Amino acid sequence: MIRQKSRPDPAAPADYGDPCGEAAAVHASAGLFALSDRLVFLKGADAANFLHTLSSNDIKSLAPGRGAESLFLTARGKIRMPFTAWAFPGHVAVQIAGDLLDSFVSLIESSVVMEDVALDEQPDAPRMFHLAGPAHAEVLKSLSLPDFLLSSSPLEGEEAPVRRSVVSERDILIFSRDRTVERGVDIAVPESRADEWHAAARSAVEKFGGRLCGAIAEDILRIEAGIPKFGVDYTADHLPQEASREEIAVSFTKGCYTGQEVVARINTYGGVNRRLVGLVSDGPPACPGDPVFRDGKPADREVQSPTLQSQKIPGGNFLHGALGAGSVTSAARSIKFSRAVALALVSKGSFDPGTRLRIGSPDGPAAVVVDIARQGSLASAAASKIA
Amino acid sequence: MTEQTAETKPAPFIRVSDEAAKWIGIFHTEQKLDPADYAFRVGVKAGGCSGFEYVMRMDRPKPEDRVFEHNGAKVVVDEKSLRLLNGSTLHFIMKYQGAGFTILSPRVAATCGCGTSVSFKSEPAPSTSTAPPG
Repeated sequence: MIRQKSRPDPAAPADYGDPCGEAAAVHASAGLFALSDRLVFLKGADAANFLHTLSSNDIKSLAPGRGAESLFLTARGKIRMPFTAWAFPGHVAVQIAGDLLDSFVSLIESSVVMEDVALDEQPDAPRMFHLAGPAHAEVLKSLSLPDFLLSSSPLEGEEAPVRRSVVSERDILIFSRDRTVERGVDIAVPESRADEWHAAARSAVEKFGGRLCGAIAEDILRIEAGIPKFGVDYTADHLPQEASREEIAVSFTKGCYTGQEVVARINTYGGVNRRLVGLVSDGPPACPGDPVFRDGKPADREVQSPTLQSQKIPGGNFLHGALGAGSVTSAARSIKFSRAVALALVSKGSFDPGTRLRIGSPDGPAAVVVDIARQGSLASAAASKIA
Repeated sequence: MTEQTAETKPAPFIRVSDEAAKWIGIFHTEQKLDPADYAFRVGVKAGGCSGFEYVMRMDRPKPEDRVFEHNGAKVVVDEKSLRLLNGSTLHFIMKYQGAGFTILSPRVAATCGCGTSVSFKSEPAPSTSTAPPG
């Protein structure tokens, strides 16, 4: 077992008094978030190949310093859990949501048989933060941390300047990762120094007009960016294509992995019956669980089943989407675009981009469907005029 | 059926069919490998559409391996793989679309479409009413 399991979860506060102001600060300057993510290191000669054969994306081809999102699937193609792999010389770092750490460790421990793979116990396991906003590079610089474009030497075969995925500075790791519509980085700081570092980072962020951001601001910003969350917008009940993760977290050319047959069959022969999409509306913000209608009919009616009940999911929320009680899974009012944005699980015939749906009732506020398989598409749609 | 207790439970084992033993000998000859130094390794690793794949190759035995012999053919299995392969039989099959070694395991829960990947049942032991090969 790894020591991180016994560490108390440093859950981020819901807000620091003004969630909308916190979200606005990210667009205007910079925001600093405390993440619940964990970083686990897999060592051994087979580490990258092991993750490659077990998950949906091409991990084996990652050059040192590169990262990729990937999914563990069941043999039937349903999502067990998402994670991000970062390649280092001789090992792989896996970034995973804190509440999935135990499941991840169990999966790894039960899957290693002949392979030279081991979970590397970190005596000073890192705590994760996210820094985002137009001033994030300046904040990094003031903390004596490198910005990618300025500091990275090119990888073999690449031309400078290169935006690396990972930069290591002293014992701090910086990962290029956009969790909002603004550029940002995840930062892993050894636990023993995390409080001290966070205080210094807070001062630096505030010097540039930024703010500490809580979980509510984080949620507003991820919905605005069209980034779905496992356990909220999609669950272990969904296929990668249903969760719109196939562009980001699936390789269709890497070869076999658990669940590959189902995922490949969907890709080759046809689509899915439900899909997670983005919604952009000029109406009031929706609520998670709101039904979605098309032509006066529930947009999820084709996937309703009398045998299915509302499903309890991690985090205490209820997911309704495909279960007949509603279709909106996450909703917020975008600070940047002054529009309502949402993620919703809708049925075939309703998930084509540009489809006009109604939220809440057959004559409720109009919303336009946006495909979220590519990151940034929801923000692009929100920034443009709704047809 | 013999009642099994912790004391009488036989050690994990795999069987080697006559045909598999014969072909292991042929591979030794064709690859010019000294049977004193090389054995046929059978194992399991993560991979494939169903979660696990079989590993089969000529290899130098390691001190921690379990060794199974039949008709002079030596098969080695590491301890962790043997937990999953317990009760299996190593065969050699010849078909119009190819020939090769295959493993028949009572613990396989499912195989993928191409047949190279398997998942295993979670229960720990296969039927132990048959004595291991002698």
